[in-house]
Amino acid sequence: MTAALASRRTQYSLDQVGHGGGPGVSGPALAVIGERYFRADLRGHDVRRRLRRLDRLLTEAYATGGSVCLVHGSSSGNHLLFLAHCRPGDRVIIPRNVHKSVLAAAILSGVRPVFLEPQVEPRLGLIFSPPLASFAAALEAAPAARAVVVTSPTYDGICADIRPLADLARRRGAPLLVDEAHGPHLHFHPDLPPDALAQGAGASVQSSHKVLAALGQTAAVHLARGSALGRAVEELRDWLTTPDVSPVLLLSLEAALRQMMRSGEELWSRALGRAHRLRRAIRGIGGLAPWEDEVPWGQDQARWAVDPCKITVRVDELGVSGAEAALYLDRVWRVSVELYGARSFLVMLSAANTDEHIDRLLRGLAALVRWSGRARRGCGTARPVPGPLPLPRLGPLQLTPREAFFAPKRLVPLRAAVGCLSGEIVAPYPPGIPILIPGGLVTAEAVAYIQESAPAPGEALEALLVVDDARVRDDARVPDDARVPLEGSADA
Amino acid sequence: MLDGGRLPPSTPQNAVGGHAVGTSMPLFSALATYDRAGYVSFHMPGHKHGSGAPPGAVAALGRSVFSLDKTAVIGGYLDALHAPAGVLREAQDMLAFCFGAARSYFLFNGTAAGAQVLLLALCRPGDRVVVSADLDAQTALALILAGVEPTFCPPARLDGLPAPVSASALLECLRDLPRCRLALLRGPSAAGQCADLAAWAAATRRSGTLLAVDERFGAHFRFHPALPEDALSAGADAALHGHCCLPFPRQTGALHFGPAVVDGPGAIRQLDRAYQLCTVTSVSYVMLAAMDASRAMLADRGRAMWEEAVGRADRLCRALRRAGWRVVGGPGEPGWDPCRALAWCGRGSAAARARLRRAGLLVEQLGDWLSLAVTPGTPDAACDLAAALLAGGAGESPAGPPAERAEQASLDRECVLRREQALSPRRALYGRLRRLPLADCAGEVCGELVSWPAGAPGVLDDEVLLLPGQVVGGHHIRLLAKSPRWRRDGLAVVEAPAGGERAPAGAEGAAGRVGR
Repeated sequence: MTAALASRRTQYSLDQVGHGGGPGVSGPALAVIGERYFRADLRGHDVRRRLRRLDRLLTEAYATGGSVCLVHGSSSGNHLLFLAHCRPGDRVIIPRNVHKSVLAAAILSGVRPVFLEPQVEPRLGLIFSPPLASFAAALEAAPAARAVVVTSPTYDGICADIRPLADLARRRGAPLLVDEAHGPHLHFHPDLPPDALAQGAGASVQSSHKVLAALGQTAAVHLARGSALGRAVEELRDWLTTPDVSPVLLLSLEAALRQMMRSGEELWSRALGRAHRLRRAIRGIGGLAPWEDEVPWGQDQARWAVDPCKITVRVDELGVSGAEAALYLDRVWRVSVELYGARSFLVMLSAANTDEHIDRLLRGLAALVRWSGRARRGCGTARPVPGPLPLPRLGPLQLTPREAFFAPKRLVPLRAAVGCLSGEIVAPYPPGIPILIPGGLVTAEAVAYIQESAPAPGEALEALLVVDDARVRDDARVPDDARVPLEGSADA
Repeated sequence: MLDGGRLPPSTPQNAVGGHAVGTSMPLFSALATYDRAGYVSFHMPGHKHGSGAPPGAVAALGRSVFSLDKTAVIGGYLDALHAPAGVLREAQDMLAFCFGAARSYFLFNGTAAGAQVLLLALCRPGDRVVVSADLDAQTALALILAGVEPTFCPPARLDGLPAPVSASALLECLRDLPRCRLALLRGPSAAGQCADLAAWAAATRRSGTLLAVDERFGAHFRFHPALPEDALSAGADAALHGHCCLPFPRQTGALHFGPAVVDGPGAIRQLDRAYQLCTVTSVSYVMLAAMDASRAMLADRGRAMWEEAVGRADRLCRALRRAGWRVVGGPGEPGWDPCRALAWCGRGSAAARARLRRAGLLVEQLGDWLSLAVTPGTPDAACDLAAALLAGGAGESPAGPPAERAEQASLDRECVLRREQALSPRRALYGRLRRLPLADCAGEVCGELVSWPAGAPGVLDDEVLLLPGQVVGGHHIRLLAKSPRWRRDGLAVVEAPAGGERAPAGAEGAAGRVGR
């Protein structure tokens, strides 16, 4: 995988590539994106064979029981796993802190989700997976559950203790499906928390581009050894993927994997060193702290592992909010952080961050402390920074998300939606946790949360699609006798 | 105190009444400006603006591809695909304006995503739809995801070339299908033969059916009067475009909706939600910027671009005919895409394609034909080279009747395109299945999605042989018996279908059901 893949001689396209490898591209696009991108884009033939080759490389790189590559993000990986493994009407146990694409997968596959509440650390609003006991109780109540889903690591780099959960799920005959979008690097260094398959998960979905050096939209699905899903997953990948796969994305994913296989441990050793230096330096700056110094927290607290390359920095002691600090670093120091919460922001390091990057961030943080001091003096007193809004409980689900998605709906003012069934997913950011789910009852608490969490007055969602339930309640429901019973199980 | 900040302007230069007429590139400009601002990234993607990109990939693709490969960032400069309010919203509006649509969406998983959005946005489980029988596996999966009840309309055939569904075939189909919700038809065909769009539109309108046209092979029609009419102008409610006829990168495309289905804020919200359901959250901004820049170029000088392309195609067709080739399509042949020449090669088509490829000319093979498509990205030199390489080559295309093998394949294909659907694909797929030896499957209802065995002559990539719910015939078994996999594994057939997802009552007029 080298420059040899770029075309060595002029190629002309009479095979319906409208840009023709360059001649048909607009001047600015050619100048800014570069001709090599469009030349590489001509090599679109034989896509299926190239996808299979990349599948084999993934299987080898991650030592899995079978992997497939994706070019439409880990979202399509979540769709794929649900479609490969679940059937309409199946119960699936889903913590509420999942990515929207898991809810989309529930809509596409027609499953009946059982939602579990995550644990929320009250001071910073960090989200932890539900405790093991919640999963156990949910499996007790739904013994025929078809699968258990968990997000690990989370956006914030918090890794759940997968092994006991995987064991529990397996004993119940429901494989653990892990949305490991933020963890494609874990496999490549012993000092990083172990990845999901290494801890007994049945399958995982990774977003290769998020952490490795592959281009946007590249992702992978991995299956545990002995998984029976291999063929279904491969076929579904082909059916979910456009026939005109971008050769550019495939090339970048292959190169990124080979980089990891060749020198992954060395690259991540250096990254871990930099993360360590950054953490130490942040501790030395008054008023800042990485969260894990401050808030050892949660029911399974001894068991949380944190990806050392994700650093959540508390800033509220400076009297500034996470958003203010993040925007200050952005505007003044041209440092782009990953995300912010009420009282913190998140720094995400990868093997590609250099010492110069760290230095600029540290200079920016030191300046942030000075800037906040001046801002405080301007206001007179140090103002307390409000904490995260408490998450409202999820309204009970009266239709499956699929039934609600397809039900007749109307658009009503948000305030008037209380008591209706939501027709859409609402997940205000930050933190991006679903507040409303299609088919779930809209509560007054949820509406208040959505209004309060708006970035600015007037920017809240004004209207909501709700199920026109007077006409639907009885009719849209899939009758229970129409559901396919699971083999060898009494459905709860 | 820091809110509302913005990097230098991305305002359209040609705004008319707040609506840009087209030559500005809001998303492309914002991305280029942000890139030049020299940010240090503690954000995804992991290559951090290319600073850790593998050297081999940089050599092959260039550094700027990595540098521009960003995602929605803090500060909102690059907007966010699932809640577009800035440059992305503008870029989407300008895309719609450029293609004469009421609402348009960028696609990042090509026509596969387009088919999913289309069906999930416009249909409900149990809805009846009419679909061209020569569909690809991606469209078939979209039918399964939406849970609709398809009836397949066999397309006409011409000398082994795929053709669009005829108006009479569509009328016949619709006559037998009261309350059909949607017709999803491909036009022009993969060979560039155009559909009778006016008749399609009239037939669907009469029966109260929405018309969605899979226009992946005719996305350029709008830009020159010498090209055939485009679907939206002819009255279609939706048009699906891929990358191939536009200066878009591979794997991209666009989905356009006409005014009848973009009927009020509730309908728009439902279209948005269907789009978000089927679209990755962190899309490739390189693809997005390339589409935005191309759209601006199309708006600015699309007509001149295709003026030249049609001229080149004309010269190429003449040269081929002079050299003794039997050529179909090209300028002057009514009902065909003027930018395309099809040259008949008989059994020599694969060899001819390989020969051209070795000389640096990428062409497609459609059964016994070579397809030469001229786009604005095809320079004169390419057409000259093609004409020169094929000048003496008409000899390798014996102008006799097709060989016996091809005849059999063609016959099989005719059979396959007359699909008999016993059950909705979703109910069949999720029904109780059992696996039977291939020889015992005749007359059974298929329980899985089966693509044509690889390398079947005259069949497009990913074309569907059998859908779940389809009745298996002897010709299917004959075709599958050639493949070791199917001989070994047999075929899954339906023992008992899954229960139907009942179509909710009171469907008409609700926001969940956009349009007529």
